[in-house]
Amino acid sequence: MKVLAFILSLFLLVSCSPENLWQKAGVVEPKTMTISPKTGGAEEKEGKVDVVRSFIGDRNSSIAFSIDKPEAFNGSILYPQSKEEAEAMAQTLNAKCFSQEKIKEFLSTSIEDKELVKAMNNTVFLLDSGRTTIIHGIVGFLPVFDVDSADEKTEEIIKYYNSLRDNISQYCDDFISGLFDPLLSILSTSSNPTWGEYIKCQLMINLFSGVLEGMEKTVNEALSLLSSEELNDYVFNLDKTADKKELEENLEKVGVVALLNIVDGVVSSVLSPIAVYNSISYSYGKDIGLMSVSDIMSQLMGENK
Amino acid sequence: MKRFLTFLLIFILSFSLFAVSFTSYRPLDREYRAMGSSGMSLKGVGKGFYTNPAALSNDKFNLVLPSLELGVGSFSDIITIPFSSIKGDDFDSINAVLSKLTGTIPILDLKASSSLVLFGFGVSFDASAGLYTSGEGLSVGLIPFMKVAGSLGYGHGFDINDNLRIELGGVAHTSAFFYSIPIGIEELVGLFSSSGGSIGLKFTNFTFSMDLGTTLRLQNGLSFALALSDMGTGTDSIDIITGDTEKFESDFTINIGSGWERVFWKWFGVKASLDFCDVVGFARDATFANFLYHTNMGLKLNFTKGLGLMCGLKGGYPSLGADLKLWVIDLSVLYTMDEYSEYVGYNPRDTLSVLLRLEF
Repeated sequence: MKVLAFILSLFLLVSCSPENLWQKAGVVEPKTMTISPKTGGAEEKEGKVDVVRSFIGDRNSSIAFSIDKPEAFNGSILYPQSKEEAEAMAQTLNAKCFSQEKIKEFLSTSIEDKELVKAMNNTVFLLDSGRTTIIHGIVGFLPVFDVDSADEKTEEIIKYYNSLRDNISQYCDDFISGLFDPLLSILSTSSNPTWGEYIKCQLMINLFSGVLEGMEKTVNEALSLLSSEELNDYVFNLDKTADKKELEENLEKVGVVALLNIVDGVVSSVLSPIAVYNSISYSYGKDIGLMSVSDIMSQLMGENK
Repeated sequence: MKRFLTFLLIFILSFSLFAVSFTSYRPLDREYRAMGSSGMSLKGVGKGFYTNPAALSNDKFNLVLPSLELGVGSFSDIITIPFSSIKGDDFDSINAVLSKLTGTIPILDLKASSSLVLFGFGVSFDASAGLYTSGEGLSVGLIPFMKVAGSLGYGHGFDINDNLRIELGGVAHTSAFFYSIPIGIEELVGLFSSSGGSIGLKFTNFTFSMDLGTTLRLQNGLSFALALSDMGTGTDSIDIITGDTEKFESDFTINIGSGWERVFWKWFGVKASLDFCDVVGFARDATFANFLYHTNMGLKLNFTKGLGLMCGLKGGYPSLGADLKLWVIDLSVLYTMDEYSEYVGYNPRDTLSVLLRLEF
């Protein structure tokens, strides 16, 4: 009977979510929740560019940041995390052995390490001061077509393309504001940032690291399909009897689709860290409100037709 | 005795010749897994290849041809996926589930193997193909993989007296690993649709390692075992994304185990086991919690030799299993849990496996 009771107990204890029974029964306590911050020092002077990029990685992207207020930067900044570090952090945040209350409590705990707090502030300052640069950097990847030298039919298409480009610029602006504003407001009102705020800050660094990496690859691939010469050649060789709708459809095939691929690549690069970023937003009681890739796509397409 | 010493010498020499290894592909015995990764001292020739080489001496003849297994990892998460949405090309709900799966962990694993044991000599061929999650828990990529392994070993038993038997054995393993770069669920589904496509599996590394084991078996059903697993010095592995070469250390472990098995009234058998795994790892952090995490235990009840029910605790994670044997056909269902994080409790994953094999 004891054996049967033991087996029955095991069956009952095996719930739908996998958990360690020693921990569940309170026999042992789970390991304390820890996240290892990654900071690095730097001596920078006014006007020095590429600070964040140098920390994010050695890439040939056109995004750079300028330190125009060196007094606000004391030389310490957050590093981007490696894949292993990001994985360890994700595991900590999603640890099965802790309740949601315990995780929330951890995220609300103030950081005692003053150097880390300085690094957070510096990072946010640099990213914020480079906000325009970031947006211009992303949109700058998209080629500009000259309307003046175009004929009537091509002009229509180029205007359509340019409106889409403006739309992407606006989207980037909203997107980056959505990322920055909650963190900026927290850091400007709180002298004791919490671990939740650190994670947001760290994810932002990883996010831009991912954006730069993903964007560069995608843009290079997409741009090979979308050069101004190729587009103009294509437009001039179109059937002269084609109507506007047909032209737009064809343009989508050669231009807008490639363009959207760029946005798709950029947004996809951003969305990975956002998955976790959003998952911890509950601790601040509001949703950051980022759209899914498909929503963004449908909105961009819909607004331009 | 002379034959045994000859083979022992060959094994020692082969170990020094191929002193290269890293975490090798080790498809563990189904009974061992269902009993909470315990039972290394219990009888069962199937444990001889990857758990305790001394078990190769348990049967004069044993042929498994073939053994097929399908495992679904992170089962409690995967089961929540609305699979009907795949038909509509709407992968958001699938990606939402996959993005929660932190770590590089198999979510689909199809295994095939075959083995032959003859008078203590054993040879086994194993292969596995499936999908890993791509790590971080931030992305939704899947990594197709394939592993192949071969094992060759020998186990020998000595009857010291009527009450005591000693078994010794050694097995040499070789395995090769192939991985693809991460792919999205859309791409994966596309492979099976009319558009077709292919998975570019790349060879990453080759390993060689060796196990040694011994079992002390008493007439009253008690048994005690010691095994040294995955002995090697490490090997270089190629990163499939960057192409960089990375050095992997060997997963050498020392495991000890005890067990008891007995048959009552010719139709009811009991197997119980209590193992302590990775003695070296425990010694680095000898706490009570770590003691429990390194302790595995299991129980198996056999009814009429055809039906077996198994359960166990692997470091605190429960496991269950059922065996149905009809002549040479062996059907098993297992539900196991494993920890995939550095800390116990952080990232446990459950696996549901169905196994079919023909055993002669």
